[in-house]
Amino acid sequence: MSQWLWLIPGTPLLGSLIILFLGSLLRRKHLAMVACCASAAAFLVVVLAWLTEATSQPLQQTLYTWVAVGEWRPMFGFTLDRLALVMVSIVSSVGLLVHLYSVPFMAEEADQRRYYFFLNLFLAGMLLLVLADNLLLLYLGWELVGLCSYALIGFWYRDPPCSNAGRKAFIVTRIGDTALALGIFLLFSQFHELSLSALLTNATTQWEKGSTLATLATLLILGGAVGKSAQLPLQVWLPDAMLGPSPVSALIHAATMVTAGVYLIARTHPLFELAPHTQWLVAAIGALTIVYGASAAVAQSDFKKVLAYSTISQIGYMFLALGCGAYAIALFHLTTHAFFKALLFLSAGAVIRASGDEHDINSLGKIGNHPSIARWTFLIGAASLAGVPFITAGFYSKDAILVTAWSAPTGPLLWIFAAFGALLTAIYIFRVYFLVFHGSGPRTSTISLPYFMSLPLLILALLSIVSGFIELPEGWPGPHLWSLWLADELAVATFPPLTITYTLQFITALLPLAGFSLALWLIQREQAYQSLPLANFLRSGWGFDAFYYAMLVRPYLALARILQAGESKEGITYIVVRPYRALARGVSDAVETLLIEGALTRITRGFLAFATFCRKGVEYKMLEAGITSLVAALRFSYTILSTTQNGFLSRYALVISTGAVFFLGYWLW
Amino acid sequence: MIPLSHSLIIAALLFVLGLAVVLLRRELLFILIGLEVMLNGVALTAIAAGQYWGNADGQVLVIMLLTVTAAEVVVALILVWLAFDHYKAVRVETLTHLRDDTDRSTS
Amino acid sequence: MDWLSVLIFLPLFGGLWISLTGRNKTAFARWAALAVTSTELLISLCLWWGAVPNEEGYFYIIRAPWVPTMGIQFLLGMDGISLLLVLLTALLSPVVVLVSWNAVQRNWPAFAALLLATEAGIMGVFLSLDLVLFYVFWELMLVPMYFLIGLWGHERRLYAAYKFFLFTITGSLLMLIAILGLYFTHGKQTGIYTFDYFELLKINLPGNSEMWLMLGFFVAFAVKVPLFPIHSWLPDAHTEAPTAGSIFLAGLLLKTGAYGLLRFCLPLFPDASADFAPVGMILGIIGIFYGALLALVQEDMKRLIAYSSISHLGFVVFGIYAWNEESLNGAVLLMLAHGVTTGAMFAMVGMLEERSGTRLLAQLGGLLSPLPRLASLLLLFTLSAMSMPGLANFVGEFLVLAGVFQVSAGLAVAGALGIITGVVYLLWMYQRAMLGEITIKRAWTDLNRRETVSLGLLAFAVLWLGLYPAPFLDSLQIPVTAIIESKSSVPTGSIDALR
Repeated sequence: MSQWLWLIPGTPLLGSLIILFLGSLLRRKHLAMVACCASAAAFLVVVLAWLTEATSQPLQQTLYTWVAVGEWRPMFGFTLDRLALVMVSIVSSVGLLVHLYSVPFMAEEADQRRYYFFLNLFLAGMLLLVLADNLLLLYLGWELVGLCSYALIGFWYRDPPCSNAGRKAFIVTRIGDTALALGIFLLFSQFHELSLSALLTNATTQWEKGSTLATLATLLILGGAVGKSAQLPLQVWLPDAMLGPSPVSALIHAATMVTAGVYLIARTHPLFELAPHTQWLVAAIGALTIVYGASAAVAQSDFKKVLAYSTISQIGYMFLALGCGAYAIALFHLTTHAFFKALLFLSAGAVIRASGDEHDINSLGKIGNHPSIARWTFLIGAASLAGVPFITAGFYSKDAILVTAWSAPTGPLLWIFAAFGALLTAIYIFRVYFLVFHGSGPRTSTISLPYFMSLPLLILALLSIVSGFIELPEGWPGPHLWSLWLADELAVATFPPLTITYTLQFITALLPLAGFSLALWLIQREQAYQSLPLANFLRSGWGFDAFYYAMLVRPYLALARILQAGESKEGITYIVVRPYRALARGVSDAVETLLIEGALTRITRGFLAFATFCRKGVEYKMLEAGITSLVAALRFSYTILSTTQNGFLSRYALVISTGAVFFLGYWLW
Repeated sequence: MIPLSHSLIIAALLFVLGLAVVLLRRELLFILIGLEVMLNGVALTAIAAGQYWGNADGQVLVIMLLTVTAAEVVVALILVWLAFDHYKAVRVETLTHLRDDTDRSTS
Repeated sequence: MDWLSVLIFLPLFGGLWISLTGRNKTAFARWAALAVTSTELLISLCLWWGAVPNEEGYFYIIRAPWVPTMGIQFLLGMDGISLLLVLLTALLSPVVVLVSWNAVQRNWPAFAALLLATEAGIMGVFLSLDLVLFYVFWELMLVPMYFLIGLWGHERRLYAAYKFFLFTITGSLLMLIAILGLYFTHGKQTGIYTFDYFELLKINLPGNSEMWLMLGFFVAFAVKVPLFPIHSWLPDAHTEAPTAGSIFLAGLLLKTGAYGLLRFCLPLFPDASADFAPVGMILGIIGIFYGALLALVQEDMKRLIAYSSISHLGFVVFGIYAWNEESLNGAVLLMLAHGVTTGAMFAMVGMLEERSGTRLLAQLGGLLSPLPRLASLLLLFTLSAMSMPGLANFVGEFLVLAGVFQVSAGLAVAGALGIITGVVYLLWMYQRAMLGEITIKRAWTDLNRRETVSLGLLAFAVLWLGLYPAPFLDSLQIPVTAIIESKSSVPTGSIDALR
């Protein structure tokens, strides 16, 4: 199996290349087919990996050395251990489902070649990121998915907001990526090694717990993760990214790419164990982001933006778990979240598409007549997101995070944030559900979804319910397959004593129900036109955009404009060119005026002009006059000097010979 | 045996004569002739110096100079002819295209 | 056979031949120029293929006396660095001919002759190891370039050509003085008056004069690179030059400056350069940010790319003065990558201008739908310029930064921020030119076969450099080690001060 690892990212890459080069020969339908086949092939290889020895021992494959300079030797090499296997399975399965869903969803679009090219390329990049066995290859995948995200957010590029959103996403994540790059440089300069496994072993043996270098390295890596996973303070790009097609939002901006940060931290967790401060920071960022995302989601009126803020908030849960050292549980939530959030996006996409690209939730409620499959699957997704007890996957994963957060340093505080977030989660998602599906429009549906759209919805709905049962909460009888299976690679989470655990679980189970009723109350208020307190503040995402615009974008542009003004005035030319001219002219002019033209008239004229300048200088204000007279004086002297360049050949010859005579005379006497 | 000073005086005379022609005449052709005369003055110095030091380099230099002059005259004559062709002028006062008057209009 | 001289003199005489026989025969001039440049490419590829280094890393050396009484020789040599830059020159030249195919309308034979003469001059600069010979070629590439800008350029071409000439000639005069200073100092010390590079390498200069001579060279090269305070000729020259001129300027002429730093400044004056290194790195950093900031507010696409060149070459100088294995390898790779990428971008701006009649971003827009092929190739090169992993610039820039990080973490952080600024202006340019609604309504034609071939060649190079740079890095190993060894005797105190 080892030698076939490259097929996992290779097949989607091949698909995208076929679409790129042969796409003009294929019909639209066949383009979609090629893309689906490529992603299905990747999924198939992953399934084969499950069936063969991949589960028992990590697989390795090295293709070739990418760059070889001294010790900087990143390989094109893959590692498939259990952590990677989990990620690969999620990416390829959700990827396949989204590809299938795209076939009818994008059928009317003109430029499918571009869409499927980038979708396949995204899959390749994401799988590469997950499988990479060294940091530089990981960075390649990291940037590749960023590129595809940029291109797909801006898929409808004729709309300026769309391409703006794409650009914003690219730039903001690039800021994080640069931190990651610096982290790579730091690790390289310390260990002269890029391979992940060697780096991690070296770090654990050479660095002490809490050392400055470890803290710095983890902070830089965290910067990368925060950018990609849209956590505070780099979360601003994700809400805008919703302008892309819905399947893209489902795949890239909910299920896979945005969780790359979580994967990165889980992958480098030995480093984070060495830096408790950073680890606490991860948890704190997570907790804050939970509340940030959930509170902003409550006030949104755009259907997809609610889900975007919800994604930000849910990834906050994963960060919280990572910060508490519960990597397996973070990964567990990543998995269930991938299923239910993809489901929510896909069913939302179906609703939006059926209502003629209407994004506003109130208007959607008035239109009504939503496809019934979309409605039921959305409800299942919403229940799972809110964590409705016992029957949904979201309950099991979120409950585990809440419980484990309690035992972390400053745990109760983190727990309060997370629990408050859980309450808000239930509020916003049920608010959306009721506003859209129980609005004033007709409830019965006359629209049926195509088979390729309903099948992924049903599969994801099923997964959003059953995927929770593989890991029952702490202290319950029943299987704990997930954490046991990952225990070799990821440390087991710590839980508080059983009595506290049960209490916490009880509270967690109550939160969705409380949220449900609060949502109903909120809708009543809204229908009575009583807006939420702070609604505008929350809707704008706590004003982060305006803040960044004023603090970063504006000054940057202003600086550029100032420099540009300096350039166009040719300040530097003045230093170099003008003296050059002046020197040349001065020399020839001195000879010229004194010898030939007769200096007297010149000097008189010069004095007269100078007197005029002086008179004017008295009349004008001091500052202005100073500048203008300086310029005028320069120009004036230039005028006089330039008369020496009169084009008369004989005059030039005369000047030259006079000069020669002078020099000779100087030398001889 | 001619003393060095004699040939040098002749050379200087030739040079000054040529220079005078260059400076005083206004026709392109005369200026060219003046240049040639100046060159001959220089060549004479080289020969005289070579003879004085008993070294053949001076004569070598003159032969080199003759060759270069021949080429130079050809080019110069073509230029003169082209100037006549383009501007219908043989006098230098009329050929003042290098005059700097671009910026003066703005002042 | 003496292939190095062929590399230099084939285009020189080819150009002469075209200009003498090809009067008013445009088609002949085009094909002949293409034939000459392609032969050059073929020869340099063969040279690469058969390259076997001697112990100093030189694959080929040609030595013939020229003016023996003054110690001037006709000394050509090709080591790994020259080889790669010769390859770049040979690759860009046919592309330039293809790009100018229809863009140049009048007097093709003269244009071809000047183009080939420039190529010969650049080849000479990369190959000559005698300082006088180097100086001759250094000036030789300048003159035809001046005429290319001045005769076939855009509206303000004369101004730009004049400025370009003035700046570079000032720098190179300083270099001439430094060369003579080196010559006489070496002569006084050893009694051997020679301009031979290998001899001069052994010179041991007193500290003060070493610094002055180094500065003489440095200024000449810094003008060409160009570094921050003396860059102002570049935007004008690039903008006003014809497409072919811009490609040569950005792709090759700027590289001669960086090459000069690598070949002469560092090995000849190691102590002075080591003292100077912090200044060099800071100048590089300033260039990175200055170019990126100004690129953001340009309206003219060509001018934007010109400023981006300042930014990228800042990275190169940054890497050169960090002076360790990673950063030097990265700097050379980045030179190649920038040559290919920026050359391609200038070519595409030229193609856009042929089609739309404008280079102003405000007037362009929405061209992705009528020109998909052009737009996707432009995306590729834009991505490479913003150092997307897997494409050419990334490998170089990351090596440079990894190298710099070992010298000074603070400077590396600043350099890494430079990558962000790159994304900002490049994406903005791409969006304004290619995305949005179509602003100019007319019948558009996508790239034709000639254009696709020339850009495809460059795209292939970009991918090769980005995904499998090993063949290029292999030939760099010995020369880079030699440059590092020239430093090894020097205490590194001055650089440590920056930590």
